[in-house]
Amino acid sequence: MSTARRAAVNLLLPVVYVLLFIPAGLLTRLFRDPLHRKPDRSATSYWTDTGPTT
Amino acid sequence: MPTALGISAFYHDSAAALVDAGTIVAAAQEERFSRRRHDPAFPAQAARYCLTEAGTKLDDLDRIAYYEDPRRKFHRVLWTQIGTAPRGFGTFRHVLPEWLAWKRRATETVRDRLQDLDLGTVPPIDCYQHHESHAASAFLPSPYESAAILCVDGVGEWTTTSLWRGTGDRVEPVAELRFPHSLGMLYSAFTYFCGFKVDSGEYKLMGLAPYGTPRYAPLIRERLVDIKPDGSFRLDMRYFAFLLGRVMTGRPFEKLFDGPRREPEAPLTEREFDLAASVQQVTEEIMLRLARTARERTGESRLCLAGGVALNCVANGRIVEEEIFDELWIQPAAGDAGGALGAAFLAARAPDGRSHLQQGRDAMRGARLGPGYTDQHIQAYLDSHGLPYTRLSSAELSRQVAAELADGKVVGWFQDRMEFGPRALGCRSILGDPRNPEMQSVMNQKIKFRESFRPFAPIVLAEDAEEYFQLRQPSPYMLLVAGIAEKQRRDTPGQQGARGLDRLRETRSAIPAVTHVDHSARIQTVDDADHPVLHRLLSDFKTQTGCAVLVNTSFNVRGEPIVASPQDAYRCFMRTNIDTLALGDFLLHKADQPEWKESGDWREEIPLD
Ligand SMILES: [Fe+2]
Repeated sequence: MSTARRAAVNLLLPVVYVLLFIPAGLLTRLFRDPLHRKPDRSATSYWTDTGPTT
Repeated sequence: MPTALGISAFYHDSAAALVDAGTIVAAAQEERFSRRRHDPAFPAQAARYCLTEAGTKLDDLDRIAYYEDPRRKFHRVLWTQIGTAPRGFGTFRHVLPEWLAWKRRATETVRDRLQDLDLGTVPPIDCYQHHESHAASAFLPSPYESAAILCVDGVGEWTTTSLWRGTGDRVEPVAELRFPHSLGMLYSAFTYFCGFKVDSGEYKLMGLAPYGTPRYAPLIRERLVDIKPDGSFRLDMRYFAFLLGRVMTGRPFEKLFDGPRREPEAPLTEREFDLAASVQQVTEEIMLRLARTARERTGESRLCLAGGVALNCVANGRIVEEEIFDELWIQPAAGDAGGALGAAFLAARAPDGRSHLQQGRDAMRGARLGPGYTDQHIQAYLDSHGLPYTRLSSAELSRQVAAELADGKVVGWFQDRMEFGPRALGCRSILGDPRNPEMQSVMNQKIKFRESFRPFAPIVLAEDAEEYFQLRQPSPYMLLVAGIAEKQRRDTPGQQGARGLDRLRETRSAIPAVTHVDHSARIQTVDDADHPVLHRLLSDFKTQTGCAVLVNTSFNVRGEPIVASPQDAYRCFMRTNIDTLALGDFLLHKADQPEWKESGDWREEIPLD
């Protein structure tokens, strides 16, 4: 990457983060945490079935 | 016949592997050529080597098989950023530019780099899922017609743990667990916290565990990881920092485990012993439950393992010990290097099934899949540098080396094709006499230049393994730990009153150099068909001494990749206090060699491991 382009990217990154990622993060977490960061002690299993029939 | 070149790259331990209709032609890790340990760069030299070994050009291949799906991985990176916002800007700024620039289209980079080799036109590139590649590497070369497959690692795209069923030449998914809930990450967090390097120090943590008591295990189960009876689990991410940045653990973790992490190279304390023992116990518990679920859900009686966690040979040994399956087969390149092999297998299946099954063996040929050197090549190298040697017949050389080993000498053993995977399995090895109580510290200090809390690994004639070890099945790739047989034991630990790491110096068996403080050993069983040269050496040693075991450690110094070429081997021989070097049929003695001169201190050039 050229220096000019790198500088442009460095300026843009915080803008993108604030305008896109922070709102998207807050919004998704209103419904559910995409990373399931807290265990669910009441669940019986965490497996996701990937087989063809299930 | 379908031919494919498998590539794994850009994360850790890049590799290339060439498979021709279900037969492995060649496989090697880039680090051995570039001499950069765990080199993550595009494996240009390994790919070139594979093509040379096969005598083909890129045009002759049907497929390039890439070991993971860069787009899905990019999605995971994006979702992680969304999920951690607004706290994750540090990683966002660091990680996103390279993903936008090229990583999300890594296959295009692979195509360009292959084109740069100037070996013809690049065939179409197929991407497989990261865990699909692991699963294929675990099952397709295994000696089983059908089996359950379990892959456990840090993370690929989303999957961190996956269960499959292998039948014929197919691997079918059954179930999975997803990022960030990862046993590999849990183990790495403790590796980091105990002051070792992530992605390579895990092995040390495992070696440290027998010194400790698992007093933190209840705390780990209660706070860090919720384990269900079926082995599925979730981490409580409030205690981990790897989503947010470059480190694995932060404040909450420190609070839980009595203070800040141990600084690298700082003295080891009781706390690290106990942390290692604790995380090892929890890991074993999860692995055993996963194995039981694999058995229940597939109904298979054999299990194949891959993924970085499958290098935890203590946990593997427990699965064997608990008799959950009749038999276990572990891909020797269980880490991401093996993904190249798995992907190549998926892309180049034989039309008439897996032919190695007819011989009742696995397809790995003892992992001897890397570059080999002819006697002409070795002689040309030695002659051109004026290095004094004795040339013997293979049988004479074997007897002579056995005699020197019995005499207490340390021997550099360079034979055959180089091993694929992280372990030296007797082709690029340093060997010694395991009966000698001094051998442990001699090999550590004079050759590896390290203090070690880990004993060396034994190699044993497969037919005599039961004499020495409590092992229920063969362990051809040093991936199973088992106890030393009762009749070889000499006392009980702690009897001589040593404490901490000094306990390793106590003699607790007839083969002290390979016996850990809990009377366990990381065993490699050597059979005649897979490893004829090494088998002969062990047989000669047994004839001369009555002992069918040798000490085996990788041919390198601390922090350096295992030697690949005769040049590498000679350099390591001269830099260290290895007494004798056996290069193919050529025997070199240290006393005869010209003085070794080097500008600067080579030890400063090699990073700490
Ligand atoms: Fe992996």
